[in-house]
Amino acid sequence: MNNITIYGVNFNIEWAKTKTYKQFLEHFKHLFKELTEDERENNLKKVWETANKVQVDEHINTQPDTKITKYKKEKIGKKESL
Amino acid sequence: MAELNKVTCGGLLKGNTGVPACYMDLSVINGIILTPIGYTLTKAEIASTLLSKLQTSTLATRANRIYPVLNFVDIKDNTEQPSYQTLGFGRKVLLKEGKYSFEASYLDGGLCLSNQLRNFNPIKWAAFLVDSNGVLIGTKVGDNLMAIPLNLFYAFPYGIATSSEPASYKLNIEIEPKYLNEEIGFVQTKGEFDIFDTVKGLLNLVIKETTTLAAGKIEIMVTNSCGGDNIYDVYGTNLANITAWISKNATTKNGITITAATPVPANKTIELTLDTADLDYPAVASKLTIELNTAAILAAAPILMVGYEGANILTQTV
Repeated sequence: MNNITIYGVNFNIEWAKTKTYKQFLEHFKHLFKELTEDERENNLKKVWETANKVQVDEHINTQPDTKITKYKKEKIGKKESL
Repeated sequence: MAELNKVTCGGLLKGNTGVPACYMDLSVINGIILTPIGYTLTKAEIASTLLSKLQTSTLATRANRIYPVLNFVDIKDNTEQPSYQTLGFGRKVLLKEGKYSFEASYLDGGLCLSNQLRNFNPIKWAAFLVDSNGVLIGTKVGDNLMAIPLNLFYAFPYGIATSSEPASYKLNIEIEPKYLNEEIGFVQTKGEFDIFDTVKGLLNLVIKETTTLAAGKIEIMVTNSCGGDNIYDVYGTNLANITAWISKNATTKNGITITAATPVPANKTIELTLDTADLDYPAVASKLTIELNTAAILAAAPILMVGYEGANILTQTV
């Protein structure tokens, strides 16, 4: 998959695939500081969702990593079934 | 078959004196394309992919790269005259032919191009000549066109401007006569493309940090090596692309993942974010390097910066 540009920032999609959503947010906590917190998170969420082809749960920030793990397992399961 | 006491006198086996209606008459040489020795355009490339082959070769790695210098403004022919010996009873005997030698002047690029070309002086080069009609001149090898091995390529130190003349920039080129006579090969490009507008050399870019590396983040400014102007206004969007950049562990030379490239309009810089969890990310007090990707990668999608190459490598301490 190609890299993705959101709000002018070019993100490494292959790398994003290897990170949980929380790890992804933490890594890019320095980005989009000029935006509101919602706008900032929406941009980052769009990148991570594009990379991982799953939707982030609305309450993901409050969920433990197991929630993400569940998504990832589902995605891997689909790949295996193909 | 060799025979004892038999002298073979060369008869005229080829060559006639009829005048054809259509013939090659080379015009003034307007430029050269320097190439590595042995660089060859195949029959198939000449027939169908000549322009793309030449353009791709300008972006190739050093061993295969070609260097167009297609902006001559004057040529001075310094070709040697043949050498004769006049014998005792007055008869002249040809001792040797003179070698082609010409001095080409250029203006565009000025001192920058002059200093770049002087890097070529100590090395042996071949070259295609290009005349004002866009004829690409080399030497014929079978059905292929090979660049002519040069006896000499020399870029002069620039000539100082005077009250009556501008600064001068000159090259001296020397070629064996056979390559432009019996063994000449040429391709007319004029009907296919304008070689002067479409085949160009690379420009060097210099990168420097405006903030030093901290927590995996660094801000970099990209400038033209000649003149030092920041190219952000023109190429900021192109450079805000992970593919444009390479980061390596300075010791192991292993790649370090770049996770994002961010344009910073206020500073006219690009901020790179590196993966500090990458196994190749150096330990504290160790070093990593950052450089622009190859000319071919910069020229291709998605970056599309055709004609540029990074000239330096940044080294940063973690």
